Amino acid sequence: MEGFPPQARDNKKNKTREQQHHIPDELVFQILTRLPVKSILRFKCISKSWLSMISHPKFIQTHLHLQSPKLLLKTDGSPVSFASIDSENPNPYRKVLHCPCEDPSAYFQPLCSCDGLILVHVRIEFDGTRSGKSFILWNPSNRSHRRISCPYELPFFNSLYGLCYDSTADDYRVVIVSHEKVTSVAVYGLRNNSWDIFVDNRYRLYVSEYGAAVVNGAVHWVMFSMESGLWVIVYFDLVEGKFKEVPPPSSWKEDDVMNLVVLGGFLCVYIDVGERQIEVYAMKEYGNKESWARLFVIPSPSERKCSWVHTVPSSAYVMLLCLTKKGQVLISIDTRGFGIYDPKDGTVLRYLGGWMPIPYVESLVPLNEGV
Amino acid sequence: MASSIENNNEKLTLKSSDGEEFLVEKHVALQSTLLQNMLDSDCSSADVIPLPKIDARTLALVLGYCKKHADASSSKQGELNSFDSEFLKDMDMGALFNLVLAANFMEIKGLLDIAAQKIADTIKDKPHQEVREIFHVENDYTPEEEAAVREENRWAFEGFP
Repeated sequence: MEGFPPQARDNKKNKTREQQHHIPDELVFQILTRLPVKSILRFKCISKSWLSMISHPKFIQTHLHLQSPKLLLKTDGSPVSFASIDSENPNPYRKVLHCPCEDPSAYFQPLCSCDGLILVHVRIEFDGTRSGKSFILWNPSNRSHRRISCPYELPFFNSLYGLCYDSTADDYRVVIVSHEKVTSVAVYGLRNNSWDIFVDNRYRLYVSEYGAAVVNGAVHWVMFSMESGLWVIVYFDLVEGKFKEVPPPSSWKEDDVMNLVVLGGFLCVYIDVGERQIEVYAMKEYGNKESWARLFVIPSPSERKCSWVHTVPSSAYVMLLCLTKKGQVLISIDTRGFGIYDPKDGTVLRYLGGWMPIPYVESLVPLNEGV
Repeated sequence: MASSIENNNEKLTLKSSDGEEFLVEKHVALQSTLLQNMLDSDCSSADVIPLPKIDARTLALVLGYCKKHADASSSKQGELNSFDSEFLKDMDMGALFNLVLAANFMEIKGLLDIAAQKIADTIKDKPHQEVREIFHVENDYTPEEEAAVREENRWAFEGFP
């Protein structure tokens, strides 16, 4: 294990005890990266060397990659509150999250997440008007947040939102695509706390609540190509400042409704092939058109073995959210709750209520103001 | 014993730090990347392989884990998962640390993962002062420094000394 300072130990005083169980730093690292964020924050108090290990980017990244997905649910009531559900053990425990909202009149709309950070839109309704400019980046696991204000007037309901980690700049980026006369892309960088705006008129929006998929360090959407007249998969290239296309699966037909999701680290598309039957394809090797492979099929509602078929209309719209460690798929149903679909036996395991579930993970990524 | 094992019934001898010898079937030993690399090189299986850092009690546990995982077919993941959790159940911290050290030395990733996770699960709700004792870490903070670090994440200490 490289990259973090060696652990300072008192050589003489503890020598006999050390010989019983001298745990090398590499193994301390292995153990501590498997702890919940709350425990890790407490254990910063153990020693300076533990603090320095825990604060190191390599520790934060390793911890991140060991996490299983959670769902952020917005709960009813005023003021707004949020709850977290563990996808590996979804029932019945819901943890209420500490909200960074100082102003109870603010209306929070979580939009998307990346590495445990959640992009939240704040619609201030003091005067009944809606603002499209105020956002909060929020890490509910370590309770850090940062308020950001977009200098551009964006049409909230005609925008696509994404959050990604840009490894070339070692920075988190908010990417907002909107269309009003022209297609513009507003990009925010956390490190410099600054915005850029780009115009790329070759593509038009396809507005969808769960449309974005973050893979390969970029946010991907389905957009309409003005050049080819087709719906295409695009990502916004942050270096070149323009959209680029990713080839779709060859089985995709022009009039199929296509959505994007990331499952198991792969860029996936799911297509409603009729009667709400959904086919899911994964791009096994990013960028290679030949590598698209069908992962599984979610049968139409009348053929699903599920517990919610009587309580949810068969027209309920299913969106895919993420993959659990057990290989099950979390799905949202009409944005009103979620279920767990098991591709092995075709069952939906549970249906729980809650608005706008957004998948996220526990994370140590710091966001404090002024950092 | 399954025929597939009889076809490949070479055995090797491992010797623990306290001098106990263990006769191990080759397919079981292959769960360890360290032993796999030794077998791939010119190390003869007739030799005794010394493991000077691993005592007999720990080595017996490690080999029990390897045998279960080597013999189980891949379709029995559920069975292996319940074996893994049962395997570590009621194990004290000293035994878990020995297991982590052995799994790391012998490069048995699956065992390292579950043992490290078990230690993490055991310490996650303990006060930091107790965790400091368990890991024999010298507190090099001044009281003021420690209080300042604690203050940064005060909410995480609710209910803790």
